[in-house]
Formats: sequence, C-alpha cells, structure tokens
Amino acid sequence: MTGISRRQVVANYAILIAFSAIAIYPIAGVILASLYPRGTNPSGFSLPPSWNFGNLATAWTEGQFGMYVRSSVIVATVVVIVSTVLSILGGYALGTMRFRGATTVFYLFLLGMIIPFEAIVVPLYYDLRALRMIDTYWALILPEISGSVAFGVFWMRAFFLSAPRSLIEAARIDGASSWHILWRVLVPLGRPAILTLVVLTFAGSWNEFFLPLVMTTDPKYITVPQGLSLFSGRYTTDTPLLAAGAVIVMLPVLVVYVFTQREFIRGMLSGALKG
Amino acid sequence: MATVDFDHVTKRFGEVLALDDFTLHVEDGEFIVLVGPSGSGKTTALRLLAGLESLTAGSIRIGDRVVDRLAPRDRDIAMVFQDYALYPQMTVYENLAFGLKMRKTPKDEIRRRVLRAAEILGIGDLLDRKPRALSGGQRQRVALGRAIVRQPQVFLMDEPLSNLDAKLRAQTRSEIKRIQSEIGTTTVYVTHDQVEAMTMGDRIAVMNRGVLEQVGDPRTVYDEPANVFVAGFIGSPAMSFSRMRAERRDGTVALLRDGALLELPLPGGLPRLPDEVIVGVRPEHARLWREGVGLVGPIEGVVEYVEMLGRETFIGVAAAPEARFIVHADPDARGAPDEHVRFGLEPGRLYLFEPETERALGRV
Repeated sequence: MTGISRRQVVANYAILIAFSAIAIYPIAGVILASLYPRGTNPSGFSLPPSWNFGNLATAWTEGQFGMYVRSSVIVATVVVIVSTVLSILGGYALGTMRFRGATTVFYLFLLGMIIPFEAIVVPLYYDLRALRMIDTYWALILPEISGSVAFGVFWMRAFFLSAPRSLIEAARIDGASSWHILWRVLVPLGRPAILTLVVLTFAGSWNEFFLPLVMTTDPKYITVPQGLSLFSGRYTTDTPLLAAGAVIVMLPVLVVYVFTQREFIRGMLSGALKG
Repeated sequence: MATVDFDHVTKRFGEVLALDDFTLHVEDGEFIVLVGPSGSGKTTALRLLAGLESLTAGSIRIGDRVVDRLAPRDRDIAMVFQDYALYPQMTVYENLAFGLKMRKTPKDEIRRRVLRAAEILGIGDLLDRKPRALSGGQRQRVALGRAIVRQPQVFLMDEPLSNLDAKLRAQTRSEIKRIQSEIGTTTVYVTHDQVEAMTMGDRIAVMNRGVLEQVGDPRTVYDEPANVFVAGFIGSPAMSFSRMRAERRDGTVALLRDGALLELPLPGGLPRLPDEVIVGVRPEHARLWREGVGLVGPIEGVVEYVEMLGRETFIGVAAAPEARFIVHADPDARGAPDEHVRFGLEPGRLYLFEPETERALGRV
C-alpha cells in the first residue's frame, strides 16, 4: 500500500475489527447459545460444554417452523419477484424518461417510504377485511409489495440516473425499443443494484413481524417471525431452544446474503444512491 | 448515402440558446467537420440530427426525407460516441451485431457484415472479448465498427478521438478518414480540435456560441477566415491580433502603432479602409528581422517566452501593450525572455478585420 503509513494500516484494521466484532457478537452469541444443552442458562459469550446440534431439530418440530417457513417462503418469493419487477419498471421510467408529472409521481413514491406503516395499518385492516382478504396470503403480500416498491423505485431510479446516458442513446440509435433498452442493455448492467434490492426486499419481507400479526389469525398463514414469537411464549425458560428457533429464523437471510454479498457490496458502492 | 440539410435550425434549452438559425448543406458522401469551442453548439447540432434532442425551430432533412419528428432508430443513421458507449455485458461480436439484431436482420447477413467490419478495422481476433478487456484504441474501433455494420445513410461522430492518447489519435485520425472515403458514407464529425478538423474534413464548419461562423474547405478557412473568431480558432499556434491605425496613402496602406510603421502595397481587392483595423498575423508570417528578405518592418519587441518544438521555434514577443506576436524562427534560434528582438512581417499575409463587427476586410 503506497502512501499509507504502517500506523494508518494498523489503525484501519483495528477500527474494522472492532466494528465487525460489534456486528458479529449478537449473532455469534445466539448461535453459541443454541448449541448449549437444553435447560441450561448460557450467559454471556462462552463456548457450550457440549455441542447440541439436536436443538435445531427439536425447535424445528416443536415450534412448527416447517409450517411458518412455508408461509414465509411463499410470501417472500412473491413479494421479491413482483416488487423487483415493478421497481425496475418504475425506476426506469422515473430515471430515464421525461414525462409530465414525473416529479409528482416520484414524491408520491417517497411518501410511501416516509409514512410509518403503523399509521395506516388500521384502515388497511378494514379495507382488506372488506375485500375478504384477511387470513389469506394476499393480506401479507399486497401491503408488503407496496411497501417494498416505494423504496425499490427510489433505489432503481438512482441506478438508472447513474447509468451512462450515451449507452441508452446508442441503443436508441441502434434501433432498440424502450423495452429492449431496459432488459437487454440496462438490467444486465444493473445486476449489482438489482441483487442488492432483492436482498434488502427479501430480508424485509422475511423479518416482517407487525403485518402478519395484524392481518392473520389462522396458523396456516403465520410467518416465521411471528412463529418465533409464539415459540418464545411457550419456552420462555429454555434459552438454548429459543436460540435455536432464532437461528432457524435468521438462517435464510444469512444464506441469501452470503451468496449475493459480492454483488451486494458492489451495489452499495456503485454510487447507486447518486441523484 | 444521402445529403443532410439543416434548414434554419434553432435549439433552446430553457433560456439558453444553444443553436441559432443554423443552416448547412452536407453533400452526399462528404466528410464534414463541425468544429468549435465547448458551448459552440456543435454537439447540439449533431444530437438534433440524430434525433436525441427535439428542434425548437427549423427543419432537418436526410436525403429528401424531413426527419424532424422521426425517432432516432427511424433516421437510418449510426453514431460514434465520445465515451464509445459499448454495451459492457456483451462481447465485441454482440456489440457489433446488436443494431442489426434489433432490425431483425437475418443471422447469416449479420455474421457476414460483422466479420466484414471486423476485417476492415482489424479487430477480428477480439470478437469474443468483452469491452472491459479492450484497450482504449480497441474500444474506439469497436464503436466505429458498430456504426459501419449498420450501413447507414449518415455517420455521426461526436469527438470520437478525444479519449485517445496523442499518438493513437493521430493514427486513428487518418484511419477514420481512409475508411470513410472507402465506404463513402456521408459523415458529420464533431470536434473541438482544429487539427482534427483541418486534417479530416472535406469541408469544415466553424461554430461559436450557437452560430455558424464559416463553412469551407480547410484551405479556404485557413487562408481566408471570415472573421476574427475563425482566424483565431483555426491554426496552431493561433493568429496574433493587434489594433492599428490605418491610412491609405499613395498606392500603399500604412499601419501605425506606438511608433511602428508598416507600409504595405495596396491590393486591388480592398474595398475600404476604416481608420482603425484589427491586424491578424499567423506565426509563420512573422519572422526574425533580416535585411533584404522582403519582410515589412522591423518591429521591435521584448521576448516573453520561447517555445522550442525541435523542427521549429516560436517566440512570443510583446511589441507594445496588447500587441503581442508569435514569431516563427529556425530550430536553432536562441532567445531568452526580456531580450529585445526585431522581427518583420510577410507582405500580402496580414489579415485586416473591421474592429466593430470583427469581419474580414482582406489581406495586405
């Protein structure tokens, strides 16, 4: 490393290690706790006396996580696919096209990010009840899509604004339609930004607690976070089992992140928030 | 191939007048260069022709088709961009084929044309590479190839050489010119570099602040600039200007300033002479003073700087406040700042301009 003194390098690493430790500590703590023997009370950050991987299986069956994971997968998959496509289309229009009312539409989308969900959940409940959607997947999927699209359009618009204009113009001259320019030229270019959006949307949907709590009562539609909450209500004293339940809940998000982290980081760094 | 006509074209961006009543006819097969400093409207004119901007007033024709309301893809043009605008996720082959694919050209035909273009440009061995694995010069060729395969009516080129280093630029300059004359496609080329304009254009159109200042073949524009702007913009080092008092004497013109007197034979074509004129002198027409070589002068001045270029030397001389000249000298000429020198000017090569309008009056 030229131009950076040894002391600076050491300081950089020290700061990075400190922040990584802060981020990893709770996750590692929960994972370690989940491996303690049942009925014990693991305290702080210590290695378990024996490695009890069976806790995960127990939690899975006793907590009916199979059912919850199924609902969560259905909801998250539909939400991620639909809201990503809508975000790409919306961001493309707002980021590359000039049309009347574009700014107003953009601010409306921003409003969707700004208004807290708690403020609209009661009227939304009555609306969905009137539409006979309570206790269906739609009651979870539709509001989550609307919530994700607000951020998604904002995010994708920023990407499209940062994409080289000459590329779009070259494609227009080459004879590509707006549709072709989007899918053949810009989307391949925007892979990091889109994958980042997918990870964020997936994590948001997977971890959504409040909406399923309000919109569902039928256990069939309960998603994982609420399932964990029910589970912890039943096993308040069994910390290792509770921790095992928590590991089951966070595992999918971690896996998705690990598989996409290179693109995710590129997306975060690519100036996708420019404009 | 086709002619191109700008007919009283005006373009405003809000309050800014980017192009003002621009009229230009480009011949079929001609290589025309729009040249000017930034903000001169040259790129705007090109983008209007491409259909990437909409006209405020006037009309544009390609061949006998009015294209004012046609989308870029329906104008049958191809454009080479300053930053090349290659599709980063596609290979060179796919980049070249993209435009043809969008036009639903048969696969065999695409292949034939891509290979032909690759051969013309010498990029046959790069067809499987992605743009990021290419050097600047190679990317430039691919961008050019993308235009060639389309076999359009008109090529548009927007400063295509400005991202190349000096050596490669000179090389590519002559190559573009060669390819264009081989293919014979009408080409509108935009640059701020007057060397490119002079060396490449069949004709050059000099632009300034949205206005077309002069159109002509490079020789004419260089030898007979229409005004002070064109005279100063074309030529490197640039023409020197100074204001002088002018008197018509018996068969001669006398130019006076700060004690210097230049007496020159009065040419036939000079219609009138205001009391004051702007005198323009190109560096090659000002030389260090020697008796008996037919220069007018001498003019005395102080050396401000010396530019040794190897093959020749240019000396910046201040003859009076606001009367600076660049003097051409032999490669081995010596001179140091603050030294006094005497130089003379070549008769018949002094350009006179009207001080108010800055229009050319003629040469003495």
